[in-house]
Amino acid sequence: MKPYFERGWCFCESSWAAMVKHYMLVLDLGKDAGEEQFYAYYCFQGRKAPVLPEEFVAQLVCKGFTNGNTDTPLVARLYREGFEARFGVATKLLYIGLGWGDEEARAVARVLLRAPALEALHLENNSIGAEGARALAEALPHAPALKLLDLDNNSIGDEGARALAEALPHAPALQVLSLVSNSIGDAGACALAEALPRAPALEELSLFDNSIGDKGARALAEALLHAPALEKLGLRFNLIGGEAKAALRTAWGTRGGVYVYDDGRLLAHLGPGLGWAY
Amino acid sequence: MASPTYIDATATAATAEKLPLLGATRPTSAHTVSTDQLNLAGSIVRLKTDATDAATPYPLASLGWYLRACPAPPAAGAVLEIWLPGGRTLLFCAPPGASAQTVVRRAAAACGLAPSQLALFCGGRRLLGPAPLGQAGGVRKGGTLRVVQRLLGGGPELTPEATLTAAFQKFVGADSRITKEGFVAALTHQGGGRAITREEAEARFGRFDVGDDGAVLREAIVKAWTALAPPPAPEAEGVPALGLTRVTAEQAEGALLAAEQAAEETAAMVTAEQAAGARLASEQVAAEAAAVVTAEEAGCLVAEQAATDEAAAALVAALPPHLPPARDVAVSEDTLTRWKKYGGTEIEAVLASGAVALLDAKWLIELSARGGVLRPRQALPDEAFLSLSELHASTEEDLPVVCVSHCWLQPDQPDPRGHNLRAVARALASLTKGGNRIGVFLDFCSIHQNCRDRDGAPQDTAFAWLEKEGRLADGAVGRLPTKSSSSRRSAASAPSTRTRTQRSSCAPPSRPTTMTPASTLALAT
Repeated sequence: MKPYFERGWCFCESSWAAMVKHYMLVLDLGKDAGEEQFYAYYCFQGRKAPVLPEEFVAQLVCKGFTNGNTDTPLVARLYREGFEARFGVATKLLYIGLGWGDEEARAVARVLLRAPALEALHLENNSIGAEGARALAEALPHAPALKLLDLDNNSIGDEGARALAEALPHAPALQVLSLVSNSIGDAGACALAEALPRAPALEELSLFDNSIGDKGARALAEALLHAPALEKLGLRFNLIGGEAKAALRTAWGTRGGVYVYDDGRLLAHLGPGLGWAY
Repeated sequence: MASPTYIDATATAATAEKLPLLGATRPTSAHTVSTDQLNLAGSIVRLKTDATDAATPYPLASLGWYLRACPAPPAAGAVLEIWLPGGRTLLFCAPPGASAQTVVRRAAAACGLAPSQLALFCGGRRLLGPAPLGQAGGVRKGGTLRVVQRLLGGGPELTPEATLTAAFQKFVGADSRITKEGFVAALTHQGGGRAITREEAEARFGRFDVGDDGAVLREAIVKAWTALAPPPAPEAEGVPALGLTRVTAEQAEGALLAAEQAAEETAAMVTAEQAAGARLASEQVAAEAAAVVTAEEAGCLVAEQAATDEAAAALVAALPPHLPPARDVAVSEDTLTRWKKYGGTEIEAVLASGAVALLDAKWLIELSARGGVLRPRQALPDEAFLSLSELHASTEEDLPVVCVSHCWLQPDQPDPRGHNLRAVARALASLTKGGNRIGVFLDFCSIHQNCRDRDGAPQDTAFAWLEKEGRLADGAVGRLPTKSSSSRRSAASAPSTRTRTQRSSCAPPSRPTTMTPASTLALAT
């Protein structure tokens, strides 16, 4: 018997469902562990990444249809129309906690080029590495409306941070970049710091819970002075020493506004010259 | 205006014995039908009746008189009540030999769709092709014909050609040299009289040792056909009688051609002779019909009928359950706004037309709990479904729709042991924990199903395993509606304002139905 994903219509249905749905609205009941209680969370895992219509057609070739001659062109057309209709107007994509890695991130990056209205892309709580981050970074210049990219709790590392930093100057609308818990060290922080002054719209950069040391922090402090658009910089739970923290406070003070974070939450926006934030 | 009396033309074997005028053969059972010969295609058969016979339960005298006036096949012999997508009815006076194709074409014209987008169902079974409706077994006493909207996908339209092609592939194999056209033409040939059913063809073909040699096969097919051809009709005197064993393929084909021509001529002749009678009969029928029926050309009447009509109310009372229920509940403006916000309008048309019916999650959960298995849409009771208005009312924080994507384990029954049903029900139970209602799309139960056997071959009969269990929607083979039938459902099933104003409810969905709005939940098993 053909398994689910080898069957034409099953494959199509899963592809349709995989396009723009909220991450909690696609359940794979094969993941249900059969425990006394039904945990929907297990069933979110392993959702397919969205595919382009061309890729869809290519994959369709090896799927089994009872009526292949008529159904194959039909579903190909339906998928293309559906894809254009859904991604053409999608403003927010929530692919959270789906267990995705680099391959899925690459797929999302390809789709980004066809989602002109997209404003927020949520990919937190996945396992995206440097390669995936690079693919996304390369797509950023082609996402004219993208304001928010959330990659919290992935593992993009220094390499990934560097790739994103290189793309920042070319991301026309990106206001929020969130890279919490991504194993980013000094090298990544320095690369980001270098790009900050040239990022046209970036207002918030979250780097909580990484491995940034003094060197990275100093570079960021320096960059603060030249990045007037940046309003929030989250650096708690890193490896920053006292001196570097002081440098950051000074830089904020010079800028005239202070944002106080605690555990990633914005606690207060203090008046000019009042102190520190990291 | 006098309402027509419903005549049971097909009641009992005893009745059939009293119909020598019709040349009727004895029906095989009390409830299958002599409609083959009568050509009384369809469900609600309204014939002119003689008032003096009103006292007898089956006024055969008037029936006989009627048919004498219009020798077989009776022109304008049967008035059909046809339910269209969107809840409208069509009063259709069937021309001689009206076929499923004719009815579908007429219905398509009436609701502005292509015939290929519609399918005709009687009970649980789809009616197809050019054969007279009366020949289709299962068009039973008191049944109702339904025209439903076909959805995209699931292969080509199930035409007789497709059916026969499936038979061809099954019996001959793909590498045979015989052309498909030849095969299909041989089997569907109508010139000699009746269409050959798939079962008959199968039985016949089973006797031939079919090799790879196309010529041999062709001969076999022609032989098979000639063996099946009924005795020549009296009108077709020019047709030479065919010896079954001695005829060559060429001879047989020649004979077929001749028979075809003769049949065409006969048809023309009959039409000419019967034109006056037919017109008369159609006028009588029109006068008797409760609804306003406008006579068009000879023998063909079409009228849209008001749902308030008494006869229609009786029909409504006997409504088979395979259309979505029309239960209306109060829906607040806020709820409707949310429904629209979550993309509900995208699926509204296809739901309103009845092409798709969403299951009530609660019903599925209960079905699973009592160890049941899924049934095709035609075999499900009303309470299995959510009405559109109930769905509207259930809109809370998301579109209350779940689409199930699943592997079909068998062509005739996707989930014979209910394994997937249990998995889905478990998830649904979790999703409806708050007492909220959810409409579930599950293809087998939500879309009208063509009947297939376990090997996937299209079937002429209804789902065999259902019929055996006697579970096919009772209403579909239910009682003849009487005038005294309660019209309790007439108000409920009169199209709601929303549906009525939406002519577009008959329009094809602007987006494939498998394309769910972004806020719809998809379940894969």
